[in-house]
Amino acid sequence: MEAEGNTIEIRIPTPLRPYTDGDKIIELKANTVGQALSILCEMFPRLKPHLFDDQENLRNFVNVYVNDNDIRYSGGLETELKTNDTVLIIPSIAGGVDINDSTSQALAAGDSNSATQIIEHTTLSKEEIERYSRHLILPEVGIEGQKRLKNAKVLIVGAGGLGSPISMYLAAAGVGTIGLVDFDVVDYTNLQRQLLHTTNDIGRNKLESAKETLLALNPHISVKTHETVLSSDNALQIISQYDMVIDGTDNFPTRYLINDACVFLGKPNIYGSIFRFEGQVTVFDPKNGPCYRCLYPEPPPPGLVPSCAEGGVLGVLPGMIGTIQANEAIKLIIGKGDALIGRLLLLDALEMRFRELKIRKNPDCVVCGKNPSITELIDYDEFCGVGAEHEINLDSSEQITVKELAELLDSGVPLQLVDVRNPDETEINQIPKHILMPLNNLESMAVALDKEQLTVLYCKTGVRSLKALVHLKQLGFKNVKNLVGGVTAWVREIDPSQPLY
Amino acid sequence: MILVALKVSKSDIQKMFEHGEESYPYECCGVLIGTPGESAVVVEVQRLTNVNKEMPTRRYDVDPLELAKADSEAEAKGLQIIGIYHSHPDHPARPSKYDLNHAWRYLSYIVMSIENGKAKEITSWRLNEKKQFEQEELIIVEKTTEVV
Repeated sequence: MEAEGNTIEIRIPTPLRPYTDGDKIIELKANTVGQALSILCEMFPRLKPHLFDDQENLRNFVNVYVNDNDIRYSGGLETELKTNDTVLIIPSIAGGVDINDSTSQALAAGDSNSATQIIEHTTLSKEEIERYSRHLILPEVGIEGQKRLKNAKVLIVGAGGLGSPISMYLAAAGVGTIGLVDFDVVDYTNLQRQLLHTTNDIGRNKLESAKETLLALNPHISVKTHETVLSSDNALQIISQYDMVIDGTDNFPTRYLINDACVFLGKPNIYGSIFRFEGQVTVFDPKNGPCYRCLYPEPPPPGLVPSCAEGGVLGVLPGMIGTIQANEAIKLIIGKGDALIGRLLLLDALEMRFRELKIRKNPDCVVCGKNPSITELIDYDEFCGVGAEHEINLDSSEQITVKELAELLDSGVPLQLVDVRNPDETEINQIPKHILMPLNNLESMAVALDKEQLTVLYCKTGVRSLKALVHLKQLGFKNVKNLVGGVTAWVREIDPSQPLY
Repeated sequence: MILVALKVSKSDIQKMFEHGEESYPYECCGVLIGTPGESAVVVEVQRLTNVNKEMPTRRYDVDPLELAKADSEAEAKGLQIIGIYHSHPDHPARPSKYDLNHAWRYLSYIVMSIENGKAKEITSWRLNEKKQFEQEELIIVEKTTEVV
């Protein structure tokens, strides 16, 4: 070779050796990978169509590495070569079974031909045609849309407040495969809003109860249950079986987990959240709009945003937000209307007012931006600081159990028992001889307390009272204890005559 | 029409079946190492990691560097990669369209069907010059090592 350049070697993989007269290693001079490959193709013209397409682009099925580094990440064909570098040409080896019973490929690729083929293979029975007749006469749905619904696979995370209307409406609409993730048991306090479950289901596994309800609504669908906590270990495997995810969760770590997994898998994530009288809905579609992290790059500090269990929620609200999520899912499946992508819909049910915020893709987003720094699932509890709040709680002398408190109260030892909940909560249940000081007013009210005396703080479960404990210590209180498990533990273990909430 | 053949030992068939059954419901994949030719001989089979994260129940992707490593190790023994094996969980032991689109000439492609976690059938295929898969005869012998 007369060309100027550094001496490098190219290793030829077995399936390409027939085109290089059996040669395994070719030595030549070149300054870039592109130059090296074009010299190689001049030497062996029959090799060229296997490496490059008609537009001179490197074929997708060929991987090129320089000393173990994929050139896709180092400048492609422009990647510079130093003396003694080794260029590895590695055929991409892949395969698998044909996918002809899922719309996911068609949806993902936006390939209308394959979608049509899939739809042609699907049939609707006489019963199904009758059942869905009000859909079928809508030109936007029709037979084709109904077949798309039948082929669709939708994963709903959470079989609770949001999961109930989402799954019930999607089941009734004829979504062929509904997946549900939950690990909880039906509780008396769920019934005010979680319509999947009835009074008879108390104590039952939520997924069992949900599956029964959905199949009773529509026996033509299939319900797949995943009785597990969605985690970094299983999220990709579970979500990959579906076309889209609907987020009906109530905690930040799972929201970030669902978001990141959906970004990595390229699946739409229909997000909804509720609190008291307010709700939010949007569709995060990483291919066409922002993701959850574009909207909320960082989780709120742990404990700042109370959960529905702590702050309460109007029972109808998940019904309103969940049905909007179900509506968006159906639109994505049938490919009609304007999806709620890049728009955050806010609902205030007390004022009965909807507002819409435009949300944009953040080019610097750590998962869906141009140069993402997060490329695999992380520890979401750690990211959201869950568990960190318990670190404050390491000192066991600052904790007290309900049994110990009952003994102290019986013995008559002087102590100040402070309920840091709101007055409405105290009306439901309380511990005798308490002083009411809601957390928000604690700092101003604390002057009424004796800093030297033993002070026991409680709330519903022990989270808010822990925050109160930190406050009081800062104010100079010497002997403060947090009631482990809160008034809930008190009612369960000491005084079951009172109601729980 | 069967033009070509692939000789594999009983124990290597067993190893591939075990890999397919262990990986179920996911697809497994690996390389066939041996001597090429119209009547190729598999001297050993080696497992590879299925790095497909999207749909490992229906797809396999081979990690390019793991493949390159297997290639140079085979070479050091005077052998080469002569084919690829993979499993079809709950699907027949026939190459799919997807397999065809991703196949390379001059390699044998062994496909196993794993039904409900149990190995059912095994077949082997090679591309002809028209880029169609042709089934090749799978000759199962006690041992292949002496042949080399």
